[in-house]
Amino acid sequence: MKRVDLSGKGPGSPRASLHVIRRMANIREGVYANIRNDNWTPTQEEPRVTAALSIKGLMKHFGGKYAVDNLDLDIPAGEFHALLGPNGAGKTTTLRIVAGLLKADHGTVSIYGHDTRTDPIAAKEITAFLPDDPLLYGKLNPIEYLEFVAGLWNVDAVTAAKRAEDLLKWLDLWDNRDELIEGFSRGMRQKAALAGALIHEPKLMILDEPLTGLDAHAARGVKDMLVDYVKRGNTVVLTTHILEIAERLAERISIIQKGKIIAAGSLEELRELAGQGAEDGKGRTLEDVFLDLTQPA
Amino acid sequence: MNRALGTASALNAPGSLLWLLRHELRLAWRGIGGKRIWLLLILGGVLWVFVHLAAIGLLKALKFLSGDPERMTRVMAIMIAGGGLAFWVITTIKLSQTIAHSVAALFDRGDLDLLLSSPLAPRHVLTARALGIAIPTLIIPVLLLIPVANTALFMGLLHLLAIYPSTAAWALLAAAGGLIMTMSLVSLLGARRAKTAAQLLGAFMGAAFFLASQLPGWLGRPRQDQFNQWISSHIGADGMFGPESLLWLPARSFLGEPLPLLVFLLVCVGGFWLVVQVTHKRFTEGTQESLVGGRTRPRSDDGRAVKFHAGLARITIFKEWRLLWRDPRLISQVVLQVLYLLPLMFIGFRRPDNAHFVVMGCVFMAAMLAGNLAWLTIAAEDAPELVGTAPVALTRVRYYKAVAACIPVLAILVPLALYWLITHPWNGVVLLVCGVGATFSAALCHVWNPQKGDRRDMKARHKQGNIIISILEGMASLGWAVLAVGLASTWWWLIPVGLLLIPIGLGTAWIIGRPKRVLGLLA
Repeated sequence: MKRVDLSGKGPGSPRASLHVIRRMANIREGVYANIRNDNWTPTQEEPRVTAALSIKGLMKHFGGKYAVDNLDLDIPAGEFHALLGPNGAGKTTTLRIVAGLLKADHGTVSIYGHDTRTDPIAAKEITAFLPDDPLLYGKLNPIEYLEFVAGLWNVDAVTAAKRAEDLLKWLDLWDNRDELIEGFSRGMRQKAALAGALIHEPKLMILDEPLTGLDAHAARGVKDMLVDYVKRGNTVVLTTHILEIAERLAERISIIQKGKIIAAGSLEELRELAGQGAEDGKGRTLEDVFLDLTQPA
Repeated sequence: MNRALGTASALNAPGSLLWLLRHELRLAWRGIGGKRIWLLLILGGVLWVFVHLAAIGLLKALKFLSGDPERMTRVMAIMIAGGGLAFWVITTIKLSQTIAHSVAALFDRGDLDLLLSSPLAPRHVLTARALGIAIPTLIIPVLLLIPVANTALFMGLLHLLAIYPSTAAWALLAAAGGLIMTMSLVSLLGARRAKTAAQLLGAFMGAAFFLASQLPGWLGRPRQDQFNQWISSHIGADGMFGPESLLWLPARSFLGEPLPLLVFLLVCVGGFWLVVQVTHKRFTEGTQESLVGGRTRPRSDDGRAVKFHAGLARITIFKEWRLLWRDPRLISQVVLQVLYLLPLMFIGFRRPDNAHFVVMGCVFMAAMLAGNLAWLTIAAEDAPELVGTAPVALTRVRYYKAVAACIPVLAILVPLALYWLITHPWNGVVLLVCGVGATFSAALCHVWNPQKGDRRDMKARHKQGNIIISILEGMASLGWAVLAVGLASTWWWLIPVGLLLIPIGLGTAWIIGRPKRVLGLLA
């Protein structure tokens, strides 16, 4: 892999910082560049201004150290967004605050205009959170699990039953519907959790490493499903360490480091940002860009 | 000298049996007592010194009696019979212990995969693991028997030195028994079911002896006399349990009789060796089966549509019952609590003058059961974050879970109370009121003070969470039990004590838990 020398132009440099701040300002104004990838073609060229997820000045500390440090992030409705960062950058903490599992020290989070602190039930109704360790019950079978999740999200029983059947068939778990989840492989567990996340048809899906443990067929199925889900106007926020997934699927990517968003934009924009001054900036992969942007100053 | 050192070094070399055993012992050591290990060691040390002192007294008495052969024969007969019975009782307890350890060695410890995938011989691995299972069973004999042998050494009673090899052989026998029983269950039921069955077997073996020991008390005087007669007829010289019976062979071995000692050592060591040899293949197969999970056969489409039920309350209650019902280990732990209280019930039903104690026992049992079940449904929730991300108030879900915990308790309690309503109406009313009250108050403590727990360790639930909440739960339960005694007996002064304890326990639990209830899962 060819590394780009960013000395003096790295994320910490004045020039790059200015660039990032300008990007952030553009993002807040709702001006997004569309992205082309192999699987997806944007259907609308107009800027999307409704924020599916809006995070302002988010802060969270653990034992004197800030895991999230004055983080701002706006994700418009209908976007496939990847949140990337090195280990311990604050991705999971941010997502757990958004999902209502952690209390922020400061800042606001709103989902489709519903403040998660003042109106948590409305925010949760349209959100699904799928962490890397699936939220499952080993002693339930997939149908019983989906019945419980549907009950939690107050989905009508008849509708939920139909959806459950469709989801289990689509995820290739239909023949395993009477087996306890504890006997499932990692991939099957991930699929069961995904079915649980989809049973209430959320408008915003937050996925933490959703493809871990899936075989190639299942991974392709899930990726296609997510793309299709976004095409229908829903929003996906995904974290992954497999940068090819973000590169192929995400319209826009935010890179988080030390609790802050250090760069955000389409892959092209990130390439530009990381490749300033470098001659070969255009052809580089997201991995190159990511490593350049997150390398220690 | 060099050769000896070389042999010792080879024995201790990485991958050797001794090296593997050291690995087992290190893990076992870290599993004992946790942070309290030093306290346990000090207490054990003090006890050991006292047992030595007692052994000196015992052996002095024995030496004194040796001058009177007739009395000595009688004393030896008593020692053989008493020691023999103790041997079998403790062996059963040891078996339940080794079954539990075998299950842990087979299914719960992650390092087995590592060891079996290494170039070490599986038989070596199994031998070390079997020894690792045997060694913890030595704790009680080392505390109680080894001091006798140590003392005998200094007092010249050399035949009692047989205690040393007999104790070691006993541990091997228990380990072999536990392993073979667990392995047989694996053969019969498959790894996954065997794990559950072995846990149940181990748990109920301990309880079985307790219940058997209570049997004479339940039989009543005439049947008890018949039982005693039957025992006497079989304990005579030609009886099934006569002096020459194999039943007493282990005790004779411990007392140093040469032939029984030899036979006992051969049986124990040979049995252990045989179990290791014969089952090592099955052992690895069982392990592998547990790793792949023992899947059931997939079901094809039978055209039956999925049907869901409406209502979060109903769905949550059924979900909790399924989770409890499908975990027989938990059921066994809960049922065991009831089993241990059964003798109390029998005594109460047979002697109406003790009825108030039975009412108290039943009320306390209801509170204990409800507390445990509520802890399982509320604190030991498998996916708290799923519930936390759902658009529903967490406390509402917790109330449903509390109901799920209370219904099984009430299903046991209410028929009991109704029976008493017919036979002893006032006691029936007291049991119904206080039992229902105790059940709900124990469950409410968990609703109001949600804590995180691990359902795999229900027995240690009080250690997992906030100790103050456990105390408050206990205070409210005790309050209901005391109130029940006060109402069912002539000890009226207990009524205000109970009426004071209940609101203190519940009220404080409600106040302490308020911040947690407001925050939900947020921290």
